[in-house]
Amino acid sequence: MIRTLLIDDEDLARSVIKNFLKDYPDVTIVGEAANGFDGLKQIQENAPDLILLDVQMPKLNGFEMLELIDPENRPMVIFCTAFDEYALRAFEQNAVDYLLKPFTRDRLLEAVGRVVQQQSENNAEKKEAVSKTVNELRTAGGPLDRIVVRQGTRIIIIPVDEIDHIQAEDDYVSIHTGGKKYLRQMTMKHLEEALPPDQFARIHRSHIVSVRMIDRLEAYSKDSYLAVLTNGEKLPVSRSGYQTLRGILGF
Amino acid sequence: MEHPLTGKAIYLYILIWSLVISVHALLLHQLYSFDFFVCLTDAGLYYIPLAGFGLSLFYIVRYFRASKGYALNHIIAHLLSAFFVAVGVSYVWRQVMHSIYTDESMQAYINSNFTWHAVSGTLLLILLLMFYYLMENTYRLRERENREKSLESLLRDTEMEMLRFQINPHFIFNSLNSISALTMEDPPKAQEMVIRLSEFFRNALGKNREASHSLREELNQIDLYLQIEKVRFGDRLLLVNEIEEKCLDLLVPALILQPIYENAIKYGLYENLEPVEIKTIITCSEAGVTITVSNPYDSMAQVRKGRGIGLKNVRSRLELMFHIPDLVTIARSKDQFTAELYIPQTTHDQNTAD
Repeated sequence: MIRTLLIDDEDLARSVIKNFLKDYPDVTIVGEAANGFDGLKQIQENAPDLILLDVQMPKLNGFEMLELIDPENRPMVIFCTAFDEYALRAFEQNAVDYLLKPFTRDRLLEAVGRVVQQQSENNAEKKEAVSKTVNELRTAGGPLDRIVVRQGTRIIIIPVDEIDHIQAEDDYVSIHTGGKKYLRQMTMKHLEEALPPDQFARIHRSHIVSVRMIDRLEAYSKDSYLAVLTNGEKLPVSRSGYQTLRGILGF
Repeated sequence: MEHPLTGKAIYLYILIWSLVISVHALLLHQLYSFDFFVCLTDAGLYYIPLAGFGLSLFYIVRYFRASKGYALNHIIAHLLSAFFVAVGVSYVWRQVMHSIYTDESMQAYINSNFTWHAVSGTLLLILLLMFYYLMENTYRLRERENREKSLESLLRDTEMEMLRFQINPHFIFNSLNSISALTMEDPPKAQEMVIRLSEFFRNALGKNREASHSLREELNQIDLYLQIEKVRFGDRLLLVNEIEEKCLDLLVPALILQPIYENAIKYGLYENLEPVEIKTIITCSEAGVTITVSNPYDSMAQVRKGRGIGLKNVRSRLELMFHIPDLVTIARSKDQFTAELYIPQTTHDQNTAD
């Protein structure tokens, strides 16, 4: 039995799926969520095997929601979308299951059937493909404009304009904004590529800084500098970081 | 370009040469007191061939204007052609005159006048050449202007067409998905939605649609759109209207409000969890109608992508139609977005917009 959660902000879109799956013996619908926040909560509470996830939702879209789930505990996903060229290309390339709205009952059952089959096999590969797709898609439409983080049960949306600097901490990064600090599982490399390149500079192996925060640069040793931020914090600048800054700030 | 001296212009040409001939003959008559008939023969024998060759000089002008090369070469070529024609005609004139008037005094007169004829003929032909040049240039200028104008209007038409039809594909497919759901749950409502959607597209896609229609028609079209969204989002979408009845018959560009409401839906409804109120206020005067549409929006969670394209289109369309900038004003507070359109009611501008 596949325990399934529906996440879509439109009642009618969820009711299509409910109707289609009504007589399908392998699937039982354990819940419905009308937005990403509720979806996240229900995933924690109900631990579904499968989610049917709408991509376009208010505040927290489908991809952002998935990012907040630990990949280890992430259910299998079938994406649902009406129209999104970027997404479709990424889904195709990574062989991730998706449904194009409106879809037929057969198309839905086929996608679910594939998931049932994969559940009996080892599906680590599939999860990897989904993670990869989500990563790709978060930056496909241009540089990142917001980052979502989770603090306990709260979900915080940080506009990138408000980020002061980001520091690497093992598998995590800490995002510093206006004196607050948020942890998120993410790589510096991914962030460096995804943040707007005219606003952020990777100044060190473990530091990305928002250029608007830089007050001045101080010589530290023969080959390295310190960036002094407007709030008084000091960050190390490596030699290649110095070159990056020169490129952005033009000195 | 055609020869400028065709049709009525040729009579003017003949008239001018006739004048030249008369003046010349009169002068001769005064100076040498020849018989008037002799003077006329003298002038006619010279100027009539010159006028004839003069007509053909235009083709030289046209040939050189069409070919590329240095202006100096052209000038020299023209001067030379004028000179040779004048000398040639003078020579023929001398020969003919010699054969007619064989007495010695006349022969001497003819010989002494040969140079004088060649020079004045050259000058006259140069004048003619300059006239041809002038005509050629005005013609070219006008031609270029026409071409630019037609290109501009062509561009404007395409641009208008593109600006007019900017319907979000999400809207189309999500609406179809809603219909798909309704066919199972509530078939009559599904049918209603299909009809509404058809009507919406019929109006939006209509090829022979007018560039402008009444505000009433515009609001009907918008209502179709909003009612479809209401089926999708139910009670989450609240519509509040404050519309002055007398404005409804005023003219507005067709579908000008569509992108405004699409934005309101996209950033208001699609990006909010709570119910969303879209408020429309319409007031008007003789001079124009003011349409204000406001919707709540979340400045924090706002997605940057694609913002402002719809509004930019509305702005360009209004500017193309009325040749007045800034007919769209935007006001943003922390949680409210307001777009205000002013649509002038000058009948003249409405006409040129077609």
